[in-house]
Amino acid sequence: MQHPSDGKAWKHFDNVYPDFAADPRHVRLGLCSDGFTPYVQASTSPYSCWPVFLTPYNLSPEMCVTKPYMFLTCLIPGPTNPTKKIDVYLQPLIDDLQLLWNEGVFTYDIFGKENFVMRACLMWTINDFPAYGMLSGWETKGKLACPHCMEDIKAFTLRHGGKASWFDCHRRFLPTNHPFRKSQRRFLKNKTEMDGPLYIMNGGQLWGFLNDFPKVTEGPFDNLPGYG
Amino acid sequence: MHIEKNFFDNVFNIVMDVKGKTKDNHKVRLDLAELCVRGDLELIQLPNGKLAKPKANYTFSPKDVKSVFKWMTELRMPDGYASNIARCANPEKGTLHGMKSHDCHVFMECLLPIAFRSLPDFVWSALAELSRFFKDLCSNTLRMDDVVRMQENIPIILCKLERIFPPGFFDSMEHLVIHLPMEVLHGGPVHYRWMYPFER
Repeated sequence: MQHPSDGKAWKHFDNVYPDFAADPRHVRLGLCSDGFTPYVQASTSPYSCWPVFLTPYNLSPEMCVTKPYMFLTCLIPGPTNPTKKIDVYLQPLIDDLQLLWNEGVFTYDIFGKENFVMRACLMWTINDFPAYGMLSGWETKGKLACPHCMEDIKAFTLRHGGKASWFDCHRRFLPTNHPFRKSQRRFLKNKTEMDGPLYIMNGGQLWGFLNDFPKVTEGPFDNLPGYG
Repeated sequence: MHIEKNFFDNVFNIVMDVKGKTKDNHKVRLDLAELCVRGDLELIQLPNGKLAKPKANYTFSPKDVKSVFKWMTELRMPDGYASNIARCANPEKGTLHGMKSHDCHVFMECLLPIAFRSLPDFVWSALAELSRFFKDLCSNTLRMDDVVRMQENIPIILCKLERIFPPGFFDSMEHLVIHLPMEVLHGGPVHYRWMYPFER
C-alpha cells in the first residue's frame, strides 16, 4: 500500500459508483481544518481562526498533499472557536460540494484539449481531535470520547483522579483463547474478559442512527439524554 | 499524528517522572489500590501520618533520568531529519520543552528504545514493541498482511502496557491507538491523512 487508492475505502467507493471511478479526472477531495492563533498568544486576548482546506487525492504519491495542491476554501473568523456552529460556516462549502457531486461542473481539460463535466467527492476529513469533535458532532471528551467505539465502551471515571480512564478496555480485542483474557490479577481486580471485539457499523446503519438527529441550524438544543 | 504525540508525551512523562506532568501521582496510586492487585505500588502509611509513594519499576531513578538527559543533550541528528532535540532537553528541571509533533514522532520511533534501555526488561520490551508499531504504521509503503498483523498485535501490546502502568495512564489517546491499523486498512498510508502538512 503506497497510496490512499490501495485502501479499502477507495476500492469500496469504486465498486459502489463505477461511473464516477471510470473517469480519472473526477476529483477526490480531503477536507482539513485546524485552529491557529494569528496573533502572539501571550499578550493579547486569545483569538483563533479556522482555515478549512481541501486537497485532491487522485494525484501521484509525490504530488499528493503538497503545497500547490492544497486549496483554502473558507476561513472561519472569530475570537472564539466555532464549536458546534462550524456546521453553519461550512454550509456554503457543503452546497458547492453537493453541486460538484450531483451535477458536476463543466471544465476544460488543457491536456486533452476538450471540455468535460468534472465531478468531485469528499473522501474524508483530516483533523486534530478537538476539531474532529466539532466536525463530526461526536463529543471527543469524557467517557465516550472514542468515535470508533461510540457508546459501546467500558471506560470509567477514576474516583480519585477524576478523569476518564480506558484501563482494561483492550482485552476484548485479543483472540478469544489468549491467556490475558483469563487473568484476574494483572488487569482489573477479579475480572475476566469474555466480550468479543467491537461491532463497527456500516454506512447505512450509521445513517439510520444519525438521520433523526436535529441539525444545529434548527435552533439551540439540549444534550441528548445519555450523551454528552 | 496527535495520538502519537500525546502517547509519547504521556510515556515520557511517566517514565522520566517529570514533576507535575507525570501520570503516576498520589491520586493515581489511590485509584490503583482500589482497582488492581498490585501491592508493590500502593501508598504506604509512614509513622508521621503522611503517605509515601513507593518507586515504581516503570520509572527511572533520578540518577538514570540525569544520564538520559545527558545523552539527549549530546544527540546529533542528520540534517533536516528533526529539529535539534538536544536544545529541547532541560537537564536541570528534567523537562522537555518546545518539542514539535514531528520531534515527538522521531523520538517515539527511533530514540525511545535506546533512551529507555535501562528500564526492567518487560517494561522496555513493551515500549519497544510500541515504538516498532508506530514505525511500521508510519512507513511509506505497507503490505496488506503486515497491517493485518499489526491489527492483531496492537491489543497485545496495549495489554502488556496495562499490566505495567496504572489505570490513570490510560486516557483516550492510549485507547485510540487500537483503531489506527483499521484506519490504515481503509484509508491507505498515514502520511496522506495526518496533519503534518497542514500544521506547517
